[in-house]
Amino acid sequence: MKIKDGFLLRSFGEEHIVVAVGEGSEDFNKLITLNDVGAFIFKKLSVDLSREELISSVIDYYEIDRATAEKDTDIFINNLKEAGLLDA
Amino acid sequence: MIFRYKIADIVFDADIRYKYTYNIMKDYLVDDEPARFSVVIDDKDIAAERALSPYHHESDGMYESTAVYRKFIYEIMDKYDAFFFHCSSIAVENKAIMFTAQSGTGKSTHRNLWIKNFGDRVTVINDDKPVIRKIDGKFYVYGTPWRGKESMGNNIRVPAEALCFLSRSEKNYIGEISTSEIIARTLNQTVRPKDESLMIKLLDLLDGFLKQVKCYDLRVNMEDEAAIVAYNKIVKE
Repeated sequence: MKIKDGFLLRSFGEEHIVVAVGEGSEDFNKLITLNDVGAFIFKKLSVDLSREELISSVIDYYEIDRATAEKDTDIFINNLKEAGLLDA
Repeated sequence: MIFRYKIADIVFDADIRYKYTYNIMKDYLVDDEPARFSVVIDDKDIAAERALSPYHHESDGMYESTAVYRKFIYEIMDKYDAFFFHCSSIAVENKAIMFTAQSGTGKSTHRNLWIKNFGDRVTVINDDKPVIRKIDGKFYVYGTPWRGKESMGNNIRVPAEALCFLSRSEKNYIGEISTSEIIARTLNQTVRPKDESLMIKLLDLLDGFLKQVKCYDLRVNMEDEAAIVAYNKIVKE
């Protein structure tokens, strides 16, 4: 899976926001705010990754156990899907 | 007909067809300086503004004027480090204080309380759509022809000092807030470009702007005390 084209992540201190640019921005006027993990996953998904690859990189980066990483990653993937940001 | 204007210290030509637009912009006419660019509005632009408007039934002149503003803003954003910010802005002791909120919250009502209580010390910069511009690393609030429903504003520029996120409350309260709490609220009060490089530019400008101004969470009722509480914190401290 991968983030669709036309979304831009920007960090302001500890706050991370995603805005739409390009043609898609007319249909996508809302802003998405992300926490640190969310921003990390968003950046990772600028290239096509599997769920497993994503979870491994979350474990490496945050040095957390597998169960927590799976839970957090799944929640975030689901949020991205619902917001229409993911290419399956 | 083509007229020459100077807004936010930027000179440009605009092809104006409607009396409404001419009238609101006439304080900004100039004739002795070279124009940097031209703004031309066609029927498609007017239709696009009508579609964006929550009312859809204002006059074509009104839509022409907002179309001029939109084109002007996108034209100057990159080259002149400028953006639009939806707020009521006043100057006190040559410092700009901005009140921002969703429409209908009472920005103009609160601004009126400042005028009522502090009289001559308060000058309205712009009551609805000022331009914010960065010059030599400093942000300024500029008056524009788009002055809001009560048509209040002046053709002046004032250094940006304070940005208040206004909400209604029974008790008056003011406290400082950090950038991270307000970036989304700030982005909702400006027009967001479709073009990716312009969007990056806008986010850079907003980042610098929010670091430079003091940001406040301002909760107010409609009594005089609301302006006094805000004044004591923003101007006196």
